[in-house]
Amino acid sequence: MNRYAQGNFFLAIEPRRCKGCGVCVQSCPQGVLALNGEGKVEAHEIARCVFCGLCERRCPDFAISVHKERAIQPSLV
Amino acid sequence: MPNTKELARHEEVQKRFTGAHALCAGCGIPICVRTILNAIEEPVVAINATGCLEVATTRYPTTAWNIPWIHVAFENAAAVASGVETAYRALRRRGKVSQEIRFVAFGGDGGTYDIGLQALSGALERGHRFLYVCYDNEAYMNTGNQRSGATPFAAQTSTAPVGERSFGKSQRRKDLTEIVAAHHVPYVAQASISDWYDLAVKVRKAVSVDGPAFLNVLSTCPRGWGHPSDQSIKIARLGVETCYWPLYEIIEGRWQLNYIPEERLPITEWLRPQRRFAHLFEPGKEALLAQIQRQVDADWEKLLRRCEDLPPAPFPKREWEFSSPVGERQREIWR
Repeated sequence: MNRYAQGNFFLAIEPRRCKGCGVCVQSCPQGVLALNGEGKVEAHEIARCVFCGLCERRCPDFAISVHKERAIQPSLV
Repeated sequence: MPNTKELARHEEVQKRFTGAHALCAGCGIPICVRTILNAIEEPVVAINATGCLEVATTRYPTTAWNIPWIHVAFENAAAVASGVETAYRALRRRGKVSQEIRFVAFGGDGGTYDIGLQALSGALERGHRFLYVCYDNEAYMNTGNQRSGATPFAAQTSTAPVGERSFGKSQRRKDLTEIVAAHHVPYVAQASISDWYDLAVKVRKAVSVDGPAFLNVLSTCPRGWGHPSDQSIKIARLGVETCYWPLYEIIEGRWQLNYIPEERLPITEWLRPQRRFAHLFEPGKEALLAQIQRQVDADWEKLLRRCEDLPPAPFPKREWEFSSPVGERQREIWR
């Protein structure tokens, strides 16, 4: 499990699940993700990530997920 | 009640369908299934027809499903769903079950358009409360890309090959969404994997109606359609933008468009990236292309006339406008 953190949020990528289809790479509005030499996805520009969660929603193999470090109180959401 | 965005992030619903299944890279089916299961709040029972989804997610002794799941045969997903739903109602009447449970049947286009149509029609007519989802990848992809009732005109498949005397499938696809709408069911909709929010909202509408509901979801197939696996979402989007696959819903018999493209793209934009249509771009095939464009235009005009008594429903906001930490931080600051 690779972890890419920025502020309160982090991207978790499970390379063993990734089939390297590239759907997340094409979906990312910020160009954060790219396929590495092994054909697995990695976040090479995590600083640009806005944590919209589109990659997570569209990953067919559940390899990528967006998490919060600290849960925001439900009353604020 | 959580909104659709919050629900999709909910831990419990996230684990209903898991990865490490054997579906191809870039397949549209898991995107469709996870969006649908994540959009339902209540406990879910899944019923599966034979197809890519069933074969690739339940290889013995493993499974990708964390919810009650049943598969019987190719043709009877809707019949099984009606049996399960009836058993649930009987148990509920006797007080043995107190939960609200939702039933979702998944079938491919082969198991819905062709083989399972009779069972689906019966279940819709009997009025069982369940949601039938057809993931439409436009051929029998599981067994090697044979033509089905959903295969579009002029598409190349293994049983409708391209050669000197043939140009792929020579018949038009049937319009299953209209066939289902003719059963007078409370909710029928057409969606695409490219617009997850639109799909999630439609699922929430579908499970909230008291009666049968039907969703026809365009699901891309990189192997069968012959496009790079990373283009799956883009090609599904092109199907929507060219009005080949319009997004609309039929609520209690009222037709409503969800999305009208500002500028309609020509159908060649949808055909060109796919290898199954590559023969249409050879010289001398302009007449076929014009014929496909005329078919799409006629279908779109018909749909517009059907929906004209109602203004178009506002299209849900684009996906990247949701779930951004910026918005959450702003809300925090405003408090």
